[in-house]
Amino acid sequence: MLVAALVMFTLPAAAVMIYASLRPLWAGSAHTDHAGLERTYRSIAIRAVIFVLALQALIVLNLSGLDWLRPIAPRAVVVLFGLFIIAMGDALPRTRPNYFFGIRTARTLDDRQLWIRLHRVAGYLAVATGAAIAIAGVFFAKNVVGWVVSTSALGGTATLAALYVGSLPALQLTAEARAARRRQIALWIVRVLLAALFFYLGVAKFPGSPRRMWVRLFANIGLGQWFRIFTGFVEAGGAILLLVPRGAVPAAILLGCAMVGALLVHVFVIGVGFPTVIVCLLLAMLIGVGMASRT
Amino acid sequence: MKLVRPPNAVFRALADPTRRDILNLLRSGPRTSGQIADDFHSSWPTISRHLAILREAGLVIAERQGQEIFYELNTSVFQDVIRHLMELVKPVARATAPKTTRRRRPGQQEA
Repeated sequence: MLVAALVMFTLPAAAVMIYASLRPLWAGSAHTDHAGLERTYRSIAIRAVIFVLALQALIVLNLSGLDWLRPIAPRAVVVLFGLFIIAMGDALPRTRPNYFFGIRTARTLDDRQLWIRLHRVAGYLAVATGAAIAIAGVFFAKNVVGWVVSTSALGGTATLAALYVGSLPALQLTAEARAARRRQIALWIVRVLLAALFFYLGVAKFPGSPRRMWVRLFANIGLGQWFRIFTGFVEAGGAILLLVPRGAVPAAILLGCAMVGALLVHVFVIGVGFPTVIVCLLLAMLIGVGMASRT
Repeated sequence: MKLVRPPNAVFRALADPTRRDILNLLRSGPRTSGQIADDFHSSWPTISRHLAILREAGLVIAERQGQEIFYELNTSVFQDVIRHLMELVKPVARATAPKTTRRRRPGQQEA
């Protein structure tokens, strides 16, 4: 009886407490005089209350013995939790310095702009974390779910802590500088991936045993096996050139020529098939990297 | 105080390229309407009208500091995502878009 009472009333009591503890944010006039802000804080409280009540509904339904619910209930809790993190993260960028909700340190409470920028990043991190948790809850096996939840939560928190402790250098850049840096990072990721791929493709052409795929393929082309070694050198060399800071454009041209050659070989010698798609994809990526690296 | 804003107001506010540019500009910090107008070719009244629409949709909030009113970015993460998606799709808003001078394409003939 006591247990049942506890189960029935603990979470609703928690919901009431959450609502009451956040209420000063929109009811009291001490902290804010914006209709927009009051609406934000109120929606945060309502989202939290909805989460707690949904949890309550899940537990009550589960205890009342619904057969179809029993096997999916643990997953449903994980998904609910993920959605809750998403809902909170979504609202984080709209908060302003206050004593009730957010990352409240002496520095953030003191510096309105710092608060705004930190909570925008925190919001994005939280939405990503919540999405990872919710997706894991739906699709992955139980042991993987625990791993995903803990890793993504830890990762998000660690990133935020690193940003905050590191005196927020990334947050203090202008929007243009941040966009340029993101672009550079994305470009380098693609360059490293392409370099690894082409280095593998190049080196794989060197072994000369007659049973190897590349040896047979180049025998079909008919220019002789020296062409296989030459292509291997072009591809491996182009891969290394891709990793040189100013080498992206020449590497893209060199490897692009190799890929055009490969395309011709596919059309006239091997026949167009699925590998042709990969060749085209590589060619497109090389053109993209070359164009993006010109400036 | 209304609890929920009509979501349509948000979408309509985001449907205009100038307003999306204003939001993008405000990412680097709060500005007055005069400072925002300096960054655009449009006149101050036009920008002011855009800001009123953004404010109505709750995407920016106006913060008074002494004599001046600073506009602060107030988008949620999902509204930000929608802004980015609209930047890709570039829908055309008819009802709320202020009139712009229409430029004729070079090849086009006068009817």
